[in-house]
Amino acid sequence: MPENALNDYLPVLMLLLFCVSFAGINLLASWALGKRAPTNPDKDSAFECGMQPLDQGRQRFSVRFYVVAMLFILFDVEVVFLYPWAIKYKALGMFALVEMLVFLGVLFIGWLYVVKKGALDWNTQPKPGRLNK
Amino acid sequence: MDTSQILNVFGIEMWLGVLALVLIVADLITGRGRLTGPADMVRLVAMGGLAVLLAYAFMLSPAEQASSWGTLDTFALFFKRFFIATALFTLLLSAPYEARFTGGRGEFPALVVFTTMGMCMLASVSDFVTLFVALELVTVTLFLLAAYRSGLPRSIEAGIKFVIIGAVAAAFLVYGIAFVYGTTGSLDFEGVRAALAATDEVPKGLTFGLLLVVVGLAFKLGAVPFHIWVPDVYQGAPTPVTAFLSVGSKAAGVVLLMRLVFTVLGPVAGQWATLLAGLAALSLLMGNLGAIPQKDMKRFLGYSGIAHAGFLLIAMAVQSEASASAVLFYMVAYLFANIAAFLVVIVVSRTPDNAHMDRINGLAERSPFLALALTVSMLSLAGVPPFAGFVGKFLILRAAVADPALLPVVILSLVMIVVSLYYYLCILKRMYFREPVDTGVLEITGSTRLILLVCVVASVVLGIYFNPLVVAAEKGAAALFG
Repeated sequence: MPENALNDYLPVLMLLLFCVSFAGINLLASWALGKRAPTNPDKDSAFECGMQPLDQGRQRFSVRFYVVAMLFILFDVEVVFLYPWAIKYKALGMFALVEMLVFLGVLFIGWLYVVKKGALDWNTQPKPGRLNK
Repeated sequence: MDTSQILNVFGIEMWLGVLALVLIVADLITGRGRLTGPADMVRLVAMGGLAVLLAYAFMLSPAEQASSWGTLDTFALFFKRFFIATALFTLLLSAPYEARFTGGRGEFPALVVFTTMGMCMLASVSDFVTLFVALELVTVTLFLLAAYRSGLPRSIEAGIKFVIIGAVAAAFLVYGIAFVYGTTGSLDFEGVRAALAATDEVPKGLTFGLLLVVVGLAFKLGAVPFHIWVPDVYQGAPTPVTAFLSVGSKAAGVVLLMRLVFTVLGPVAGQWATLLAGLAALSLLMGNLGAIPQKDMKRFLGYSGIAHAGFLLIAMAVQSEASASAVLFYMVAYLFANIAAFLVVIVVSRTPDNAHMDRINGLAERSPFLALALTVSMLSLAGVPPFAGFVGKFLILRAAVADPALLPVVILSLVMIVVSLYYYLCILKRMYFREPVDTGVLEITGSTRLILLVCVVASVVLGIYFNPLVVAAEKGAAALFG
């Protein structure tokens, strides 16, 4: 059984080998056959590979971005549950409606908590017991 | 729909969830981020709710037939009561500590109640998916609790270490569950048990999967070699949380490991005894020898907890009904002794805020009552006769000597009891024969006195009049073998 299962992946292995050898042969060929010209700043610049870097990649930015991103993911994922329920609403009936209301109730308390604790306030002065310190 | 079935099994959990939501809303309405005043009220509501639920758990009778969602047998009920009582003690412990929560304290009771909800679910799980969901509920809330003093670097450090270790443990567990499902096609405990019983030759994948699951749970239990997080997290976390971790989180590991070892692994018990005995021996050695040089009370209690995990693992290796009931008794004795110890640590470590062992020097002069409580707690943990810890150790060893193959571990554990006597008695020496380092007046509130009194009385009474609890433990353990 295991041999058969692996046989199905043979094309993947061949493609992998092809990719690696294609890249490898090209690099090797340009190294072996190409001329060595002295380097200059224009040659080292990013040619058609995006913008010139302005600054270091590691910058400090406000921790509030993390909080907002985290909250977005949280609520976004929870909303995913609403779609299958909405599609199958008729078939699931009363039970699912009550369940969904309970779920939304819990979600609502979570949202209330987020707002009251000031996680979404962007320009407030720090207060004790609040998130933005 | 089988809503009624779910509520039948997870009724307590539902009410715990409702209680936690009520606490969050109550904090939002009354607290508004203030630090004093109404937050005490939130804690009182939490304690009232937990007390009512504890009474409810005691009145509840086990469900007759197991549903596909979980089981509510006497074993599950025993641990549900245990977990709710632990949470109640934790909230009581946090009262004298709360002033140190500088970043707001309203969420603390709610988080404790959420953790308790997860723990109570763990007591009833009967399949691997519910197990994982409930365990994550416990772990994630405990991460937050460990890092609750967000202004304090060592609390953050404890939280982050706990997150990383918790993630590793969860990875082991899920990988193991995947193997179990892949080889048996079942996620039910019953189904896996049936698969194990059906063949003489257990598939290697299944054994591997179960091994990974056991490793994941051993992290929770704090057994060697998966113990490395215990001292650091215990030291850094706020002290009430450490108490909760040391009793509640350990019991969560115990309850799962017992279900796994005694029911799922039942048909192949013999093969696993050696492994569990090996873990027990390592934990006993590492915990007891590691505790000796400790200079911080919380680290010290962490190592002592590792040693106790070793004792619990001996009982799991025996795999008899007697050893299962001994574990239940041991956990209750451990609960009272540990809560008393941590409460004394909270009181003596107020200003400056650290739990260095010098802080208990000369405690007998400063407060004879605290010294007495810590003495009883240490002697109970050491397993000295008139206290509950002795009965727990005695029951485990009595069950263990029935199995001649475990004789080396039993002898090792006896040697280690002597070693543990040394370091527990060192604590007594500090309290009674050293000059105090601190001279400030200790602030002992009425509730502190009450909890310590309850713990001391319970440790003594369970050490002398142990029969009712032994009977209850036997009834609880019988459900596993039913």
